[in-house]
Amino acid sequence: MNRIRLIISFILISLWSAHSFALASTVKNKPLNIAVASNFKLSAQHIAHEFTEISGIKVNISSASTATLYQQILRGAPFDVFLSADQKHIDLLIDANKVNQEHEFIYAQGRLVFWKPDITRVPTLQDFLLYDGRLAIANPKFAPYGIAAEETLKSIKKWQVQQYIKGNNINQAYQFVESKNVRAGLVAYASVIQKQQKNYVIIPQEWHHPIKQAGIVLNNDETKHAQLFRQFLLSENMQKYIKSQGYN
Amino acid sequence: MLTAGDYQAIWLTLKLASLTTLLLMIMAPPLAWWLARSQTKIRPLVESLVALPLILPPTVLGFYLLIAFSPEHFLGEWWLSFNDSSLAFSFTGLVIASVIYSLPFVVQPLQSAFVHLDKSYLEVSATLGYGKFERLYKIIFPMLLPSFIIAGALGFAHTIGEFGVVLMIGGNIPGETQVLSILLFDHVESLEYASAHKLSFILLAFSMSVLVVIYGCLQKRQQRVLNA
Repeated sequence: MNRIRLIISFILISLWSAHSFALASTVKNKPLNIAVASNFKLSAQHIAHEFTEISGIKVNISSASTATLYQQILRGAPFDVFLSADQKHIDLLIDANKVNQEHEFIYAQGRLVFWKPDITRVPTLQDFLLYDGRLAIANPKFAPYGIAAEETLKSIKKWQVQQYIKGNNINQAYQFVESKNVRAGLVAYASVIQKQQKNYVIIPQEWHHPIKQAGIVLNNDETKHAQLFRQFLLSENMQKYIKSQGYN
Repeated sequence: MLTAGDYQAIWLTLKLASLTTLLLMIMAPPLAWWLARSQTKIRPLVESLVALPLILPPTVLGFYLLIAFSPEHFLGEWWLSFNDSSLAFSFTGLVIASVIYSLPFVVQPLQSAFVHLDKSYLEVSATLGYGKFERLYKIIFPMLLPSFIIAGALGFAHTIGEFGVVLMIGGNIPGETQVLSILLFDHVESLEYASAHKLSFILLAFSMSVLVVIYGCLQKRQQRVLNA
């Protein structure tokens, strides 16, 4: 009899504490859901961590390709902030009346590098111009870094002659080269910095349109947590950090 | 209605699925026979290996294949010793991946058919003086024809529906590795919904017809067994 009473009270206590815990976390600390384009994921994680330390607001990060995230948001995915790898998809959301234009901001500008890990010295632009093997790029049909890669190759008249391996996003292009399945690629400056690679050369900015990475606040509720995050992301310290991670 | 790129992807997909099915129909029957009859201790191990693609996320297979195809590792190095370009991002690479990926879909229906095959047929035919191959062609094959059809159709259909593995080791090259499911994903990601609708509908109609044929085949066999 005593044992049953003990078990019942134990169950009740755990139910009660779980309930109050859930209540507390929904009211005080509703986590901020942030959708991040895959190239910016690592930096976003670091920034989110700093943000949580200062504000006490938890942050969940979901990363995928910009186009995938765009489609999820268009169909009502519960994200509070969207950090895209381009401006186009943000503008599409604005056109679809899903978001308010005044919540748009540019948080980083991406750079492309020619990365060729299998030579013992740092490659030059000349190496890039002369390279005739298969080249890993992000898909120029929809990936922002892929579009920049296409523009680059067109500007040096190599678009027609080069053989490409197209990754679904810029990280996959990186992965193709890292696994040695392709000898060189046009990848994100941020990737080679984060992975501490050495054998790369930065592609001049004149060779393609700037890869402006835009973001937007999707949820402008009374907590203003999303706006707070935006301010934090655009603060001088964080912008300095973003620059150190391979962005302009 | 469909673009040249769409037709190219359809043709490539059919080519991949046909070649994969052909290879599987050569490899799978002996393997299934062994799995159905063998009593050795390593049988569960082999059986598990064959069934793995059923439950393993395709990304796991794709990831390991990408590593295996790399020139740094044995398989990739061996391949490059008599080929110009690596197995990754090539049609051959996709065939290898598809054979592994669709293997259980062909082996398992055959295995279950072999298990349920009444041994007395084989014994009677042996007493009639039929040799090993005669028994295979005159008894086993005609009796189990529906199972062979089902196994082949499942392998074919499953290869057509392959996506995760190809996404990881394909590289999206038109005419080489850009199969239907990848092209469809490509259309969706580039917001070309009209093209995406067309390809989706083709895949849906195809898959549905294959399943109707398979289950029709099963029903017929069931009726025959019940009437016998």
